[in-house]
Amino acid sequence: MSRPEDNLPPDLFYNDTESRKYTTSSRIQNIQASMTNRALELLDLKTPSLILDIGCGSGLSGEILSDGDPAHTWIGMDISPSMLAVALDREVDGDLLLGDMGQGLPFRAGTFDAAISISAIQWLCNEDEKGVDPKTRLSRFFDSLYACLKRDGKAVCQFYPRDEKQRDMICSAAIKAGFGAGLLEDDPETKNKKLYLVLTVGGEGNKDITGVVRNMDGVDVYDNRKKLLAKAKGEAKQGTKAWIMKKKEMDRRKGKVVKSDSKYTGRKRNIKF
Amino acid sequence: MKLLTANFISCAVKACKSSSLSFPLHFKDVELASTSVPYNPLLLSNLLPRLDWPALVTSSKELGFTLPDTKPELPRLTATAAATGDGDMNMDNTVGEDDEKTLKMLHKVLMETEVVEGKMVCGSCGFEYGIHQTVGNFLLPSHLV
Repeated sequence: MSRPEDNLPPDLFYNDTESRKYTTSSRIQNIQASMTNRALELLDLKTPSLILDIGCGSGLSGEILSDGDPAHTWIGMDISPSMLAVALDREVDGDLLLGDMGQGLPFRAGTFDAAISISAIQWLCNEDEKGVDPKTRLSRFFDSLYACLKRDGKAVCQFYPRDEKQRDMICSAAIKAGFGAGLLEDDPETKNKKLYLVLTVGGEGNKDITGVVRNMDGVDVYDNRKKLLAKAKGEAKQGTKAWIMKKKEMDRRKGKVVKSDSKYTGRKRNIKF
Repeated sequence: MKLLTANFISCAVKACKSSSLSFPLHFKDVELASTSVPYNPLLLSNLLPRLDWPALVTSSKELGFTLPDTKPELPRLTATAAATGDGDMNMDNTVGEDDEKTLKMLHKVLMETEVVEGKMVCGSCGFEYGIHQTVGNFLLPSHLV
C-alpha cells in the first residue's frame, strides 16, 4: 500500500483536488468517524470540554466532537490550506488555525481539557527539507502539547507508523516530554489494524496509564514497564563479583587473554597493600 | 478566530516564550462577524477559571467593546445540575438571573464574536499573524522556530 507520507510534505500533498477527494470519499469518512469515536471513548469526557484537534484537516473528526453527547468545543489546527478551505466550505463548528505541529503549538499553558489527533502525527517523522530533523520536530510537538493540556488532561493520537522503528521513535518522544504513554492496538495482526497513542498528563486520576482502559471490554494489557524493571533487576550490578565474572566470560568468548578465575577474583585489595 | 481561541494563543516564536509581552496578541485591522453558536453554560463555567481576564478585556477593547474590569464570579456548574434539564440545559433552577446574564454575555463575546479578516501582532517581537477568512496563520518562517 502506498503511503501519502512518502510522496510529498503534507501542505503540498493535500492540495485542492486531494483535499476534496479525501473529504468526499465515504470510505475515508467512515474510517475517520470510527477512529474519532474510539478516541472519544478513550478520552472518557463527561462534561463539555475544550478539545484541540491536531491535524484537523477538513473537520471530519471535529464534526463528531461537536455533534457528540456532551457536545464539545474544539479548536483545529492543520498545515494544509486546502484542507482548511474545505473545512470552511463545510461550515464546521470549531475554530481553525493554519499551523505546523512540528513547530510547536502556540497555546498557553493549561488551555485544553483534551487533545485528539487522527492520522496525523506520523507526518512528523518526514524529512522533507534539508535541515529538518524529525526528532526535534517530535519533541517540539510533544513538549508543547504537554504544556497546553491541563493537569489530568488526556490526549489520544491515532497514527500510522511506517514500521516499528518509527512507532518507537514517536512513543519515546512522548514519554520524554513527560506524558504517561500507552499504545492501544485495534484489530491487531490484520490489514485494518489501528494504533492509538494514549497520553496522560499527571494528576490524581492519571497515575497509571492502564487505568484508561480498565473499564473497557476486549482489551488486553501488556505492561512493558514490569518487563523492563525485571530486566534491570536481573542484570548484575557493576563492580560486583558476578558482574566481573560475566565480563571475563564475555572476553574469553571473544578470544581475549583473560586471567583465570580464583578465590581472589573480585575481592577488594587489603588495606596494607 | 474566535475571542475564546485568541485568549489561549500566545506568540509561537521561540524567543518570545519567556516574554510576558507575547500574550495576548494584539488585534489590528480587524473585520468582525457574529455567528450563532448553541449556548452551552456548562462549557462556559468549565472554561471560566482558565480564562485570562485582563487579556480578554484588552482584546475586546481592541475590537471595540468593553467588559467589566474584574472577572465575574460564577458558581461552578456541574453535570448533574444540567442533567435535570435533560439535554436542553434548563438551568433556571440552578443559575440565578444575574449569573445567567453573565453567562449569556460571556457566550456572546467568547463564542459568537469572530474575527474574519485582520492581523494579530505579538507585543514582544512584533511578528504579525494574518487572519484570513477566520483562519489564523501560525506558520512561522524557519529561522524563528
